[in-house]
Amino acid sequence: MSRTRTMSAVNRLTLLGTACLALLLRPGTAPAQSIDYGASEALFGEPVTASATGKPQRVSDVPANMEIITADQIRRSGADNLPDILRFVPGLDVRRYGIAAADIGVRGYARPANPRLLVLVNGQQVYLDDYGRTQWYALPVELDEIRQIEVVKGPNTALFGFNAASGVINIVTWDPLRDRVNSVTARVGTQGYRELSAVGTAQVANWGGVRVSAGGFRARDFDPRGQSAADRASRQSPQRGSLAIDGRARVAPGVEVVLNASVVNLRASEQAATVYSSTDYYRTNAVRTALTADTRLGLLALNFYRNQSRFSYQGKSVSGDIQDTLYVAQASDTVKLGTSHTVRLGLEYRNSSATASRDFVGQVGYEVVSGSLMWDWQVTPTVSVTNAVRLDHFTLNQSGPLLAVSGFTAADYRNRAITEPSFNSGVVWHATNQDTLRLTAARGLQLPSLFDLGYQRASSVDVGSFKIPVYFLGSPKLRASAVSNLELGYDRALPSLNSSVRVSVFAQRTDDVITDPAGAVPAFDGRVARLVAANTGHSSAIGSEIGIRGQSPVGAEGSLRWNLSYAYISIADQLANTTYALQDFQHGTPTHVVVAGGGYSVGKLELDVQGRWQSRFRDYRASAAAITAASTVAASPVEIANYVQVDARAGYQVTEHLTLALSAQQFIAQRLVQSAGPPVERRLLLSATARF
Amino acid sequence: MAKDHRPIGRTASALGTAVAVAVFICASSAFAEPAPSMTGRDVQVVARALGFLQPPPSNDAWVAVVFAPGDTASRQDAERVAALFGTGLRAGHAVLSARSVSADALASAGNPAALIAAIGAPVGVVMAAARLGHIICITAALDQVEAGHCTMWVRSEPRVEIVINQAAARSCDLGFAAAFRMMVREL
Repeated sequence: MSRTRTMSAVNRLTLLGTACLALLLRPGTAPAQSIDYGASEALFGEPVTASATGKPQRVSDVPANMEIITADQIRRSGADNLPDILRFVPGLDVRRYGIAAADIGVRGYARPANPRLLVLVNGQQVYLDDYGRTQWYALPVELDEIRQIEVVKGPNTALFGFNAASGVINIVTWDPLRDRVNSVTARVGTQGYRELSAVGTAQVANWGGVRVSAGGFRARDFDPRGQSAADRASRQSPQRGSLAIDGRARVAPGVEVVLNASVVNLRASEQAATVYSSTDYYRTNAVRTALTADTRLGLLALNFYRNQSRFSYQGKSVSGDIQDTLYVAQASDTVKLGTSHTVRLGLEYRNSSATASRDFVGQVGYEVVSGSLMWDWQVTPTVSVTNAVRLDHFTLNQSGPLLAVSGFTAADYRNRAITEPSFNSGVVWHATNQDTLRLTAARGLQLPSLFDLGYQRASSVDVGSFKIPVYFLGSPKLRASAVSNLELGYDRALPSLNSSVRVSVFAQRTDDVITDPAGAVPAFDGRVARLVAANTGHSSAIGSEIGIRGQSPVGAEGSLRWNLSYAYISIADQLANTTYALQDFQHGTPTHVVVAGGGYSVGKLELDVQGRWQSRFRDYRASAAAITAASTVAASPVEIANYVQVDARAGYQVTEHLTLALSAQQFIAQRLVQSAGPPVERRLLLSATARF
Repeated sequence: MAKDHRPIGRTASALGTAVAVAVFICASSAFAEPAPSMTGRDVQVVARALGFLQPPPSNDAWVAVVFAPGDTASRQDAERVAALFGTGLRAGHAVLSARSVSADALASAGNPAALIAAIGAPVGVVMAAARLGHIICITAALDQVEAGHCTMWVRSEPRVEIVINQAAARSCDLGFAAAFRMMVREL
């Protein structure tokens, strides 16, 4: 009897579930799409995005400070890499440490292996969980397959979760279902640079498409003058190889399935998070499957992916390796309720674990379970209010024998949990047809990285004839760092100049700044020294950005475009128990940055130039000889004088399908000191691109 | 209480002048080519917006630009708007053509994919036809959409604006892609 009743209940539940699923997946009646970027952009005459709130929006409507770099801008930049494209975005700082090594900070707080920036490709995380950092040359994307790069300045954790503490950069590629992109680019240049990149798309009727991209380069790295002899010896020339496949199919009206995979191999000499120089090897791979459905209950999205990275570093003073595997499952539903309200519900599960032969003992990992809610209210035709909240629950795990000297026990790891809320709120007011005001407030979170939590490495220093043991220790007791941001933005269209002006003013405070083991103050107990990761205080920033961007009217014989911007930021650190480099945000951020550029197209010729001047800042460098008895770990400050970088490109469309371009990067000086790494050399690149 | 001491003659004179100026302006504008109710960019926005209908227009779809019977200005406006479609405008995977149709000939006009109400067109008739054919009614007059007499209003300058009356859309049994609905204003 009981069993019969149970079976009946199961059957009812199954029937109910099936009915619900059928209702959920019942589309309007015909092909639809989650976001058709191309059709939407053509309709509204401006880029569209879902990177601000998760809701599809016109960029002029987003309640965030967002810059979108289009495929045209990428092409006209002449750059062969993402950091040199992002360098000219107001509010972004790029530190270059080699020909295949650069770090990017949003509104200051740049540092080697910056963990405050969330970088995604089509919504899939591409930053590395070990340090929470991004190796820009290890991204599985070719420049020719990028539709747009979306840059969100300011915390956006309520939508994206941890690491979106100072900003988000989402790279959106062409949609193989709707966009047919076929190109081959060959590029040669100074520094022995040789690059080949290809993108091909195959489409089946109106229901399926596959894009395959592959690329790679070899080069001789910049002359490491100024580096120690030991560090010079450890540097090897960079090389990269990448293969990615992105398939999408419309399996039913309104229902699309995505399957993609990628693999990247990279060798690069770079400045590690610990500011030591080393040659690093990356082997990353990723697989992802996703489903989007345009249903009567809104835009339903399911997303699953796995990222794997094998990273090893070999320097004269440091070497090691880390293997990291990340699993992510995400589900969301974005639905418009009535005529004025849009709600997005999101659930996320993350599981990350890492092993290392020398840096961790055993395995270190974490799980995060998150729930988020976004509510967008169109209050009046000209005013909208958006609120988003998210709750993350983080649990830490560790296996393997801990170093006894660490003072931490297995229980410290096993019982460690962090539960933190984050939010984003914004009001957008289209005051007139020309004027838009934007007021936003946010609280974002930076999760301690696996390195911060689980690093356990024994080392030693020679003091005369003595050897002093030194232990670098992550701490399971770290708290998440919280970034609060308040911002007022104003956009003004200038139809008479076919231009727009953007002004923003912001104030930001970072609490519980995380100092990783390499930045901690050594604690001596007479026999050994310990450097333990800790939360070390807070840092505040105020800043503003003003810029104008415009172009000559469509239809003009020649097309002229221009941009000019100025960014100001002032940072004050209130930190204790930290030694150097990683936490010297106050001096490590250029206060003033001016970006100016222009371009002209006439007939088959395109000419573009972009220049950036930035004021001085302080970087740090540790070398093989820097470990001294006095400070155990020491890094030398390197004062980077103000400098100008100018990039230019001249492109000529030889035939309908073939374009030749000559570009020059950093061509003002033969060598320019931009960081504590080797001086950045002038680069000349000649490229031939066939599009068909 | 203050009194107006202006002589009636002067008031009449002022009124007469005003009427004369108004008549002159009207007469001048009668000889000038009146601007169509939609611009080339407006109809491009219309066509692209139709691509987000569920289902979107099929390949051989066409748009009827409806005018008031016996109203020359209305007919001329419809012809001008229809001409803006040229040899066809892309709407999703379809290419839309257009032709002008008198409101009293709508029943025998075939099966247009959408109806655009020209200046002076009897929008009530247009909307009734839209309901009957389960197709969309489009207008350049926002008040008609606000009143629920038509389904969609578009404007391309200075910024693309699209307003959809949901009740009117429902009465025509119309649906739009969810993402599109989130990027336009609904009433």
